[in-house]
Amino acid sequence: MKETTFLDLLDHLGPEIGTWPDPDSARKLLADSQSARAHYDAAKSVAAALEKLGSETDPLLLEALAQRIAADVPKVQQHSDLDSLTWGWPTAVAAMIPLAIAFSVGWSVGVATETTLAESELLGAWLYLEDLEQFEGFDDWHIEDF
Amino acid sequence: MTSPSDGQLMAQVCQQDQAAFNHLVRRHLAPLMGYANRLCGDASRAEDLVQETWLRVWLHATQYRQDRGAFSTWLFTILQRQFIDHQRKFGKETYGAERDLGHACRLPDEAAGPAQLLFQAREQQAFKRALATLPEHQRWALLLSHQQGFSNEAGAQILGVSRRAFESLLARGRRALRLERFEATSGTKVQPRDGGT
Repeated sequence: MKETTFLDLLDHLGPEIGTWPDPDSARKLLADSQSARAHYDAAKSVAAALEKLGSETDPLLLEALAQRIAADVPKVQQHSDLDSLTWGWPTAVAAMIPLAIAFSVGWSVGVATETTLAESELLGAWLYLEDLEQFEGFDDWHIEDF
Repeated sequence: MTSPSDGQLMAQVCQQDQAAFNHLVRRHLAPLMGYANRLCGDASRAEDLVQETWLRVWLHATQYRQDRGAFSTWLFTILQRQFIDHQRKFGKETYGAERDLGHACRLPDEAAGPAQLLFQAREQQAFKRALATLPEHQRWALLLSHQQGFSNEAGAQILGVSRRAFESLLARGRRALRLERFEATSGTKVQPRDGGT
């Protein structure tokens, strides 16, 4: 085992060599390399220091805190899954309002456009008829000549 | 008579059972406070953080799903998010890794002599300084894994990262502390690539 691999395993898996993938090679390197041994000792010392950090807190302080928490709880109402429904409906309605406005505006514009088109078509037809009236007997003349 | 499990107590808390809630508080308060102390570096802020965390447990009890993980993982996840919210609100600089934590540290070995006690105290101080200089995610990962004994899976869930990312945080944190300790004991300055990885 190379020393770099040894150090990688040391950082990833901790100093318990028994849990490493190839413990025998690691132990051999540890016996042969002074540098590996020094790093291993440093890692063991770190692991021990981390465990020594502890999480003890003054029991009296904990008791007082537990009492404060217990006293706070009755002051607040528990949220429930129904809350999402109760606030969900107004939100949905609020979201529908701009949609409805957009739809009605869009619809009005569409109708107006259609009306304008229909009106312009009628106007065109009327003008055309008016032009035709100026040539009274046009159809007859047209038919007779051709 | 066996003590009710966290899951059973949470089912009762969902029915607004305050006795069950108080039972849970007493069961998990010490480790939660220990971790909060390390996060905040200040006992009074840690107390506020823990109090808010428990309030959220009560308020959102119905959101807890036993099949998604242990209650303690859910509890620490709430605390971690609360802490990050606090940092955003009040600024990271108001939270130190180590400031007022004398009460949260394990007492020195009573059987040791004065010289050994002094040596232990110096070693512990040096270690705490080194720990405080780590990037916060590495420090949190180390605390969750070593101080609180969470699995890598649970630790990853608490920090909201993938398991691989959590393992990488742990490895980088361990390496930084190992190199610091190696340099302190051997007097040798380690080159960046000399430490492996």
